[in-house]
Amino acid sequence: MIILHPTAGTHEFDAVPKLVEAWQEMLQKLTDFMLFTPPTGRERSRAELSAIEELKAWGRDRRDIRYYNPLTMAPPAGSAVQNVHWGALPTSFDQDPRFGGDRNKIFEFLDAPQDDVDDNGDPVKSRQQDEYCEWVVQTSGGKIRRVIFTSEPALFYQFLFDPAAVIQGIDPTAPDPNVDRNASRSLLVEIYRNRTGDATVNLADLLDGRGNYTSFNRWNNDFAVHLQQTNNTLGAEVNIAVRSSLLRAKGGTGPLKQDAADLIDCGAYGVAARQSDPAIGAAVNSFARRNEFLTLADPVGLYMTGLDTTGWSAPNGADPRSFWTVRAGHGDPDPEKAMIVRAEFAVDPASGFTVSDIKIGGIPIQFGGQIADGIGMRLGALVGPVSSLPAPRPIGCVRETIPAHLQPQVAAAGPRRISMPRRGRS
Amino acid sequence: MIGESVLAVDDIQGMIAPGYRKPKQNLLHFRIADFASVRRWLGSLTLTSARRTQEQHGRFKQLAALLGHEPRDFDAVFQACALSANGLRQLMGDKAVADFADMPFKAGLAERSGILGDPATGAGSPAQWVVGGDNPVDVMLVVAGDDETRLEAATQALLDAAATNGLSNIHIDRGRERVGEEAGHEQFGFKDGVSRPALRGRNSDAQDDFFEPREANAPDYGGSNGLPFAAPGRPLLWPGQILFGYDEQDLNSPDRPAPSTVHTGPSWAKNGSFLVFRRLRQNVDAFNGFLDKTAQSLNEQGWKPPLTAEKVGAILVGRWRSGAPIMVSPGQDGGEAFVTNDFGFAQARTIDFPSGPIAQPEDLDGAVCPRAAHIRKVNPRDLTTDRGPAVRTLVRLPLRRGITYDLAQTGSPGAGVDNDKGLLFLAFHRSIEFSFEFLMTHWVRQSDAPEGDAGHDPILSSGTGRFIKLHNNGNEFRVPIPGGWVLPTGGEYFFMPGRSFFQNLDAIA
Repeated sequence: MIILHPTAGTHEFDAVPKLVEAWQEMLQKLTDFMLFTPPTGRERSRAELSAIEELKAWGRDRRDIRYYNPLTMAPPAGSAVQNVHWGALPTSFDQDPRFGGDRNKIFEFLDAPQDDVDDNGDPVKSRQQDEYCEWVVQTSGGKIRRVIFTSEPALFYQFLFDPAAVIQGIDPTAPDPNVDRNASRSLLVEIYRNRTGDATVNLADLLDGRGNYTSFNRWNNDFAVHLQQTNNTLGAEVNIAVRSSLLRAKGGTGPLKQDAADLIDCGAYGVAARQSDPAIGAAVNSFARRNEFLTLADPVGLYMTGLDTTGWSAPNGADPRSFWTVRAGHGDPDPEKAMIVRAEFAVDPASGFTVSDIKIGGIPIQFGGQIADGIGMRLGALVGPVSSLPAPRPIGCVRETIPAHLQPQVAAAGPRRISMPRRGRS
Repeated sequence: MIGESVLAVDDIQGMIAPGYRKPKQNLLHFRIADFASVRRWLGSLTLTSARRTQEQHGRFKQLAALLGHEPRDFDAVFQACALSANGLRQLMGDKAVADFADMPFKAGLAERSGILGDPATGAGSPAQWVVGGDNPVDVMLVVAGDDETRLEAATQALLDAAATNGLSNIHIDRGRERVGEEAGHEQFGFKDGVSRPALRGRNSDAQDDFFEPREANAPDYGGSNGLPFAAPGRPLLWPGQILFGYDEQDLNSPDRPAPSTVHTGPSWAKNGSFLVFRRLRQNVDAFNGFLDKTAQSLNEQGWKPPLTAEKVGAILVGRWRSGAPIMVSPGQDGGEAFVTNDFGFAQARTIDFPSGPIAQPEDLDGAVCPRAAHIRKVNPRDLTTDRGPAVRTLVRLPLRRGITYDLAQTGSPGAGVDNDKGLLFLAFHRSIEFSFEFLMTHWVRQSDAPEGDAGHDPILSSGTGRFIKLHNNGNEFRVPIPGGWVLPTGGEYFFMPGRSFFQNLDAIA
């Protein structure tokens, strides 16, 4: 039975036998990895411990976490989706001295891929839009023709390239899901062709020099097929949700931390400068503080909720809203339900004008960020009613020294050697 | 401990800070007919400084203490001057405006009104505004005082002088605080101006000579990002949040300022601030009718205990008409004794009142104060929002200086509309885009911000499909908001420079 469906509930995976099941298996492994982490491999800091490991380091145990894996525990009766919302336009650069608060300079920066490195450490140009929504601006004759937005995780595509490698990268002991790799790679190419509208895409275009799938392939660079910014990953989403469900208090006792900035600083999950990570962490923690069991709502993903075009004006009295098209996932007038992972704002060249001729509050669109400012984002958590179990006990912060009286009698809290994918990247 | 800047209190216009706090304020709107004459004349104006305003506030308090009541004929008359982008262009050339980073100021309010949710055509659209829009304004002079005779004499003198010095008067708004028990209440009857952030900064080099005195009992909610206050309910803002040329509010720390290079403007903008003026007509009958109907409808749907229209109003605003917040007075209007701004939504607290302590609950779900209640929408206080930690809300806060108007009260020549009353919304910020426009376009107008699953601001939002979600005994009620009780009838984005700007116009231009 499928409980965890592919992002946005798309049916593209249906084309390859066992792919949907393998995706579920992968999500389960990913969740368990964040919760438990198999204890072998490289040395880790306390910030890299799994949630249960961190609880144990503070003398707590699995009774003190309210995040659960929906494949190993049925959602409590009465569970309902509660969303966390944020804006698609990054605010991390609002006070960056490089831009002096000049919004046009920030927009210009956000539209242009910047120097970065890929997972191999090789130099690449990467999008810097850091709110789980990325975009590319396509121009013609100096005018904006189309702006493409995506919130599809890279993991979706990495998984298509090699389902077994992704699953076994998380859990080396996991069995091969027996997905026909050639078929899934054909689907990968097919989806790329669909997203780019270009039938010439082939598999070799999507690979790096080592023959591995790379998020920095030219088609993704040019068409924003999926997220590529370092921290915009599904793994980060799961990690933040799991880690922020731990209750925190100074020294592991006393008043519970509630402030979003305090929590993210204390729990060392996600990126504090973003809107999304602290907001997700604070919301998840508030559910756990109320002793409510939670998990990420199916289908797990980071979704655009829509575009607000109030006050926009287009030539010839055209409705600016008509230029917004959802290309993957689905839109909904209710932002609590919308599940958009790909959309574009584009003007048909035959109309006689371009996106650049559309104005927002009297100001012509010059940058993709101006449009992104009107896009909402959400993540859904499935939250149960208040549990009858004893309330979970808090732990301290990852950088705190654990008081001797809280340390476990047997297991040492120190680092161990384990093998694990990097948290924060999918 | 990071030191706070010494504010140029002789240069900053007192309307910005500490604010006039006067029951009568006339807004005189002009178009420039002869820019050379105007430049000369503006330099001769006596504009009231922050220091002078502070001194007069002190004198007012002393007199009130001596008399046992507020003086009724206090003789101070304050004056201020602000320029629209169009006015600034005429006086100083296009570059003067281009040098500001703030795009909304450069575009002007009429261009931006659509994104605020104003109608594009018909009533409320810029084409029908009595001032601004199709009746553009270049210069606004403000005259404020306590005594009607002195105020009107000063106003007439200014109008006469302006007419002979190249300014053409296009409109006058006479702001008047309501009288009697309604003093300090806006036209729907709710106490206004309770929420007043405090500006950091000092009057002199003396370390504790703060521009806004600090009270010993000001709370600090603690934590590395706890919000510091000048007094209970008065969060401290770094001066660059409001004024050009000073340390600015940092997005992530209330204690450490961001450098003043953020949000650039020309060097001559120092000590100035952007002023948002909105003339908002209020349809009191429509609003009260909506409260009556909503109370009836919710009662029919099973709301327990039954609601009164007054309670519905308190739920929608987040405060009772007295100004008492429903977070501290949830069942009924606690009256003036419970008027406070010292409360939050995210953390349970005990708040001391003269009558004893009150336990303010945690209300993350909006069970007490709905997530879309007006005061929660425009100032979510200690809540995490769609923009992240609570501290980031501080960068959105303006200094509000609004005052009510009522043509029936002042007998002013109006726009030919009966029952024209409402609010002259006046607010200062260093960035219109990050402050006023952000609040309107994101938090007021979106149903999922600053918190999700909330609805729209029932007081300020307009348009079709608006609603607010309310909760009662575990049940959710989705109440449609037809709106239309607040109609924009004028306004403009202005820049209110330091006083020295007007004396140095030739050198600056």
